[in-house]
Amino acid sequence: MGIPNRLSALGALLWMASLEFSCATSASVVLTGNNATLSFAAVEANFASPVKGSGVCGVLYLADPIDACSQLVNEVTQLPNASSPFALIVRGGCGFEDKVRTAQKAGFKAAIVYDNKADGGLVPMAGNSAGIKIHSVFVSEVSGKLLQNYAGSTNVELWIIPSFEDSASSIMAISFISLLAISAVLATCFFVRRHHMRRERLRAPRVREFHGMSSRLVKAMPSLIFTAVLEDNCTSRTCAICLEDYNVGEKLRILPCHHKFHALCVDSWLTWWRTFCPVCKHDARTSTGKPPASESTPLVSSSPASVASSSALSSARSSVASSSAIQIARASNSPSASRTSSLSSTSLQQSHRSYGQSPPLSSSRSSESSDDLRNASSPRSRGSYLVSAFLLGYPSISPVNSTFGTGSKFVGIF
Amino acid sequence: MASKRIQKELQDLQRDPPTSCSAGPVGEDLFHWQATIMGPPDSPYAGGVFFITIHFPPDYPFKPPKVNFQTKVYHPNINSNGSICLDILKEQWSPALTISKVLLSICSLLTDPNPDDPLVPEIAHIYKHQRSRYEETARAWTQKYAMG
Repeated sequence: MGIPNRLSALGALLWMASLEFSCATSASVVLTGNNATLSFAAVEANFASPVKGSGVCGVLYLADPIDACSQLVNEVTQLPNASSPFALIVRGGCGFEDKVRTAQKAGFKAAIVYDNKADGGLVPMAGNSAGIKIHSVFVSEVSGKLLQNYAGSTNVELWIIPSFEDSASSIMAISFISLLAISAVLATCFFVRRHHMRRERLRAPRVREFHGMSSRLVKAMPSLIFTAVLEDNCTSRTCAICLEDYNVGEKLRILPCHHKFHALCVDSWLTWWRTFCPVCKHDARTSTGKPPASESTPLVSSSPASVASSSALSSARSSVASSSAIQIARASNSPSASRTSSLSSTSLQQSHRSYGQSPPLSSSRSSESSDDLRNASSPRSRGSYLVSAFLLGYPSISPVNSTFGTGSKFVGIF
Repeated sequence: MASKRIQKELQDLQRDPPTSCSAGPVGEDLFHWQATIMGPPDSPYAGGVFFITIHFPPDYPFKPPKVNFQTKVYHPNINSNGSICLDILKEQWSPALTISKVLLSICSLLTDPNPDDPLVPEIAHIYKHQRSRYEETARAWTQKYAMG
């Protein structure tokens, strides 16, 4: 699992950050006299007792010897007014810890160690904190030299104050840590959520509110290139989606319910929005469904060539003719039924050819096959080039005496 | 596509205005229309003129327009905010529908409320069980809000 690893890494980061902040705490040494206040930058020793709150106040004395590497000559008990004596010690000769211990042993409450080199930076004094109870800070050489002038004078007070930067840095540390904590919580939430979502997605793939169908399916639907306004009433001259008239050369899409639209218009409707026909609401995904009748559905074909043979057949035909321009005629000079059942693109290209059947039809048979008929006969219209894969593969066209519209050209394209 | 189609609908409305309703853009914005519907004569809304606002979405006509009554109507399928509960304005929307067809559907909704799918159940209840009281209140509201 990735989350516990991440959390432990974050924890380590937090620990390191807090360690870094506790290492070097800056402070300042402030000298207040009758008429002047001097402030020096200082760094607290990490082994001595840290200065708390508003700071500590005392009187400054020079250590004797000044490097405090051996026992101090000037013990606090010998000093006058030694309520809170601070020792000023120079760097070098021995370790910082030794100097501070010596000062503590002599009774000083704080040890101020100043640098012995002019251009050195402030260093955090390091050492073993065991047994050290006094405060200790490190100041620069310049500050040490200045402080020497005030050593022993009781009319100035020396303050060691935890500096503003110190509290600022602690504020920064706290805010940084809380920021890290918040981001850790957020990250945890995020990962848990993502994990959860991924699992959800695996469990129920693609249950989003997507109502469209794949563009591959849409493109598989038959289409035709508009060439002229059709004489029949079935194909309107206007696209119901954009309300624009069809222009010659525009590609029209034919839905399974035989309604036609601009291919561009209806493709985006079916792909991105819903899958039903905008006019009749017949689901475009089901191609075998019965096309619902509309007010534009002619009951009988308007073509004079059509001859009604029997009532049962004409009813089947009317549904066939509902949105295609099939002309139905009795044709006797027709190829055999087996020929029709193996319709190929070459046979389709023959115009003025009637694919009729000689055997007489019984009414029961025609109604049986009417469903297949509808499927097979949809995209035919006079005056238009058929660009369709739809027509082929429906062998049961046989029971209808149908001539494909005179003067029409059919181009089977796969 | 949207603005072209709206323009086309506007032309059709001007060329062949439907009886008992009118519609057109408010100001320069083609996507914000106002329409009026005359209360159907065979309904308690007869004699009233009802104002309707129409907002077209940017993906019109693939998404339905937002149609709201401005005039207060006492009707089971129209609430006090003017929202209309009509399936063709929601999930049954089709891009083949036009504003004039929508207004016609609203007219027929005024004549024949659909209390089985109500937006205001109280009015639907009254419509179902106390038809005369419903007609009385609807007439009174029409008198008060949709006339003069």
